[in-house]
Amino acid sequence: MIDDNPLIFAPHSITAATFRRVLRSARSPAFVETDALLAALDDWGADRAIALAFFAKESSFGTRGVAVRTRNWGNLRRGRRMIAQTPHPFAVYARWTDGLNDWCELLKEHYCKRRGLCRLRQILPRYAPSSDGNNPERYADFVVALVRRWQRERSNEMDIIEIFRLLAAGHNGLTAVDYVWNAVFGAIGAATAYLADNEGEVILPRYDAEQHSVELGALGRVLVGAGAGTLVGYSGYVPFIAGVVAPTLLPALIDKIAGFVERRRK
Amino acid sequence: MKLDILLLVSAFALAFVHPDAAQVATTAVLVLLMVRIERGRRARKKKSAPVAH
Repeated sequence: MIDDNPLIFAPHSITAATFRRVLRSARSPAFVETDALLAALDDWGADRAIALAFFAKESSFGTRGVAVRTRNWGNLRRGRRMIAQTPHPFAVYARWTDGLNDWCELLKEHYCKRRGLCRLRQILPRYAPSSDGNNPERYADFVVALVRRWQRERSNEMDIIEIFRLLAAGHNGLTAVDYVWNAVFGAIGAATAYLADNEGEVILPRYDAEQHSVELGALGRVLVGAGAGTLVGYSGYVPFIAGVVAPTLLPALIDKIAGFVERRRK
Repeated sequence: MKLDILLLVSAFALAFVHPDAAQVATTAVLVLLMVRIERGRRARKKKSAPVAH
């Protein structure tokens, strides 16, 4: 969990997937620039969670207040990349990424490097002073609480890309011999499931076109199990479990698809 | 039943060749046992159920 008075320029406290998900679920207009925003935060070395929490506090992720029109990440008054200024005055940007770059530059160059104010609770009395009607302590509490919430949520989320990444990670460092072993373990899994629960099933695969039902049979199950064991990539009992599960799921999936195609045809 | 034992013996025999095979064979034993116990429990339940006349 993040420190109560964290450094702004520090390793990221949340994943890029969380950053993306938060912007998407908030229906932020900045979502379309997510890749550029993430790259900018990497370039500056800023913790993306803190930058995102500032964005939440300042404009509810660009959905409220003057930022809707100014594309100004931190509601800054001026900055190098601004293209205009409102009468308030607030800087106006062509892109959210420009506003974020100015926010990072202000905090890194002006506060951290020049004045030695590198931590959240050191920066806020200057960034959002009480004289402007702000409460720096409450601002900091908001930022820390929000980042902690995202960190807690992180364990519950499973982005589809992360699932693929996780699957791909299993394949790292496996040799051709390992894949053969995984196929063997998958086949053992399928054979175990078959022996444990076969109710008069056949040896060879069979398809009943009228019922849209597939019977893999012993041979089909073993082959599907071996394939699943190879695909999961991990060693040990994981390919075995894949071998148990896949031959059960595959016929159900084929039935569903066949039924769906039949309904569409009618 | 004979096939079950053959499968398990083969799986455990593989442990001499591959270190993960023992883990796999143990999981296979557990899966088979669990399914057999569940099936036996269901059969006993069916047997003891009152017959409707």
